[in-house]
Amino acid sequence: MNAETIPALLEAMASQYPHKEAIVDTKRRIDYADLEKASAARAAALVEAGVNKGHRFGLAMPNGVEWAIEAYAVMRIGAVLVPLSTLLRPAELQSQLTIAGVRHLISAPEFRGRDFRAEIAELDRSTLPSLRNIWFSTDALPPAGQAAHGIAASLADRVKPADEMAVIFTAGSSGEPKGVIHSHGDAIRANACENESRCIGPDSRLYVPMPLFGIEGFACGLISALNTGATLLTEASSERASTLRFLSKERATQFRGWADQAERRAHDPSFAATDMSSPPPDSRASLLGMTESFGPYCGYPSGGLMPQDKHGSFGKPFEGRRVRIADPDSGAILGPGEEGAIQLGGPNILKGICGREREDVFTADGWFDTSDMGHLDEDGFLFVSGRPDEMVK
Amino acid sequence: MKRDTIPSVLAENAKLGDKTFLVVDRDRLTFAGAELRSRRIASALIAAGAGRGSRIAMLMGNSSEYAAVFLAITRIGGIALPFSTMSTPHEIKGLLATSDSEYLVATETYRGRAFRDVLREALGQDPDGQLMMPDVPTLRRIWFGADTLEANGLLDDAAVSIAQDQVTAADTLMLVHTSGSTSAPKGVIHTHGQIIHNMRQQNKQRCYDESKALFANSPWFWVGGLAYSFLAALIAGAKLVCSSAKPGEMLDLLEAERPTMCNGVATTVLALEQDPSFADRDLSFIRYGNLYPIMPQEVRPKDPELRHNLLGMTETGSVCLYDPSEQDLPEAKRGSFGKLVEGLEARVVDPETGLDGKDGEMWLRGQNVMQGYYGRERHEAFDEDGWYHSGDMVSIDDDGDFFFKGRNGDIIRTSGAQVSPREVEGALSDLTNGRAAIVIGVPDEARGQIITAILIGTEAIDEDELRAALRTRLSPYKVPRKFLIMEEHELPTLSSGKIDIKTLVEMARER
Repeated sequence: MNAETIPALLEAMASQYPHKEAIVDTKRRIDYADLEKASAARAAALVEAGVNKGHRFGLAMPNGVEWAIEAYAVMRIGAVLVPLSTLLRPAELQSQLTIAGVRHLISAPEFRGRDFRAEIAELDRSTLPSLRNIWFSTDALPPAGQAAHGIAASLADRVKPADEMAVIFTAGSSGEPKGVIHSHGDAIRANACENESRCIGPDSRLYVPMPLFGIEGFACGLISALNTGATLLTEASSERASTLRFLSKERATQFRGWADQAERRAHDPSFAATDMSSPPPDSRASLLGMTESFGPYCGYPSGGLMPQDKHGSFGKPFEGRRVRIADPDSGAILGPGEEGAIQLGGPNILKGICGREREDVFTADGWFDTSDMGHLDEDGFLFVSGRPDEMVK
Repeated sequence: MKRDTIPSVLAENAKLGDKTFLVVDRDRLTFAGAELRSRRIASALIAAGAGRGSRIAMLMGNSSEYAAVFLAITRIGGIALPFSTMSTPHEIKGLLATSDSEYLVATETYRGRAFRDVLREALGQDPDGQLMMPDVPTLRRIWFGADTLEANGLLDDAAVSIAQDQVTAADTLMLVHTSGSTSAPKGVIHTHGQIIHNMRQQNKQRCYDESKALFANSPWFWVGGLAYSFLAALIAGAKLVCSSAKPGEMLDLLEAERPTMCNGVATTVLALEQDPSFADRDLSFIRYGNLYPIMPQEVRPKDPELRHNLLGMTETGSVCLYDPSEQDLPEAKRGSFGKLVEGLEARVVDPETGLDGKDGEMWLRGQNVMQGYYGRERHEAFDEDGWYHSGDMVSIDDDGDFFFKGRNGDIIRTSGAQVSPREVEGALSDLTNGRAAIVIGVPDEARGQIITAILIGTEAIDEDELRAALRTRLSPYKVPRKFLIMEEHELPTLSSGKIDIKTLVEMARER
């Protein structure tokens, strides 16, 4: 049976690919065996510091090996990772900490000219009753005692697919951000549906410029690598010249980029980038996905060209993904060619949204309305109305 | 539309002030008292590190202490996990571990059990200080007695107030373990919004409002007591009366508190009927409920079987089938459990064919249905269309009244036919002048299962005569092939008090 929890995956990859590079950033690299050990050691330190299963744990740091170690330390004991954008203004941070009920927060002390120590000191702690600990990533935590090590190991053994894994924030239509809740099981299975299509495997060296705090970086980058034994290449910040050097030095085989970034790099002959082949944009199916589906749920296999009559579609939903079109008023399920609301179902979608009751998130039969309109054709290709080429929100 | 939370219910109840909320024998609590005590305890819980989402287990009997602790936990967005006070040390350890409880609040003693000793045995160590046990890795702290929490530290109203403001209707309110009759207990999750809405609707249906008082002894660690008595009373702003006193004192209490509604199991009141003072008591204030032996003659049913029963389960936040009618029913409605309550939709599906019909397993969906079982994914509890398969076999008539046939697992399959044990038990009871009987299916190579009737008591029976009599009532394949006599004390039971059918089947095999 495939591993469906983060601790099980970490252990499996450490066992299968111990010396394979798991994560590489511009300053540091770590293989799967060391990633397993480092996340376990960090988990014990977090337990010592008062972190427990089910606690919401905010992480506001730039991309890098350290981000991954911290994230895996949190998730492997069944605490719930709440990745936070390093671009949040204090009021926005306050809001997200409240929505997700964050109990522990770790932040970089400063990043890109922002002094987070100072900004976080200004937070009105009295209005954040859940928030118990604020740590900065450059400050050492006290070492874990024997008991904490034992607890961390026991917690890791007991994490279940049903347990909450992460709360990922995405923009809401009304302005308030939505905290989308995913479990280990739904996230890992959802992610497993797309990797073959994206040609990600153990030999992949996948570069992902997106921040790990958003669904693209987190799901399509971090989790895709862990799920396949691939190497994740990531940078704290991306500048054209230094990124090209990094990609070249680290022999990137794949580049998960935004369409315009892909175009800018397409002419560079120094590496093979499967996602950036030169045929016209509309003949390549882009990936369609969202935070609520834990990333892409639909797409055409990378490197292939779609038949002419499928141009403009997003390919077919990945195996293991359930997609249907419903009448937006009556809820009736529509047939091929009929335009309606695109809905997602099955066991590989979000568990819920912070603060929203089930009836406000799912239909009576448990499906999620994506708010996109579209249709499925006779061959199961998905067309979305009024959408640009590429959309993973 | 913003839905209710425990904080919003407490705010609504502020106007009730010194009105009586709970009476448990000599233990009394007003609505104001409940608010104040729970606020103190909430403040202490916050100071101890608990808050929104904290899983806090409770080992307490029905009492003002229970009420104060439950409300303290839930008003700050914590999750209350009430455990049965009858749980063995082994069971408590299991519950703590599988529910990932972080804290436990236990009463000092209850019904002769000192919980400090029970917990010491459960955990294999003193239950004091900060706990770090790999066997129960999430548990950090146990408090004995709510007063240890109340006494600790200052009352920080502001902290409680702010914590309350952040509780949403979507937050989990409680995790109640099913008193499962076959498998390990499962933790059933309900949110503030759904359970409060559910009980509001049910209160309306049974006319349980501020002016009423309810007598019900159901324990508050299971859903019947917790939702249908305790939370119902809180939400209605009504009085709830419980008692575990001797019959004479219980009668005193009933006369003093004058509950208009009395619900529960017949055994509670059998002793009352037998009390020497019973004839001199005036219980005419009792107008509604199912404790017929103590109700005034004019409201009693001519035949108790010709009144609607009710059905509830943990998964639906207590009652799912109900009819408020207090009228005697026509013969055709014998065995009725009433209609589906508001907040549910149902299907009746034949387990063999998968087709909807009038006989089959009851499937449920809707806002009253749990969020899921703790530790299990949604698809492990719900089918692809979101239906919960209850395992209860029912039939439904043209009026929408449900008739309960038994648990799917209890249904006996003998020589290709399905037999409801309840039906056979009912027939036996009629023919033996009410002698208690349990009908089970015992594995048989030839027939799959054979119907075995266990008659309780010491009196011998004439099997042939009984079989002949049964054949006048039941189809031949429903008549028990085997009869056994057992005394009540020989019956194997689970800690919930329910009969341990599995063990009973094994015992029957051997005889």
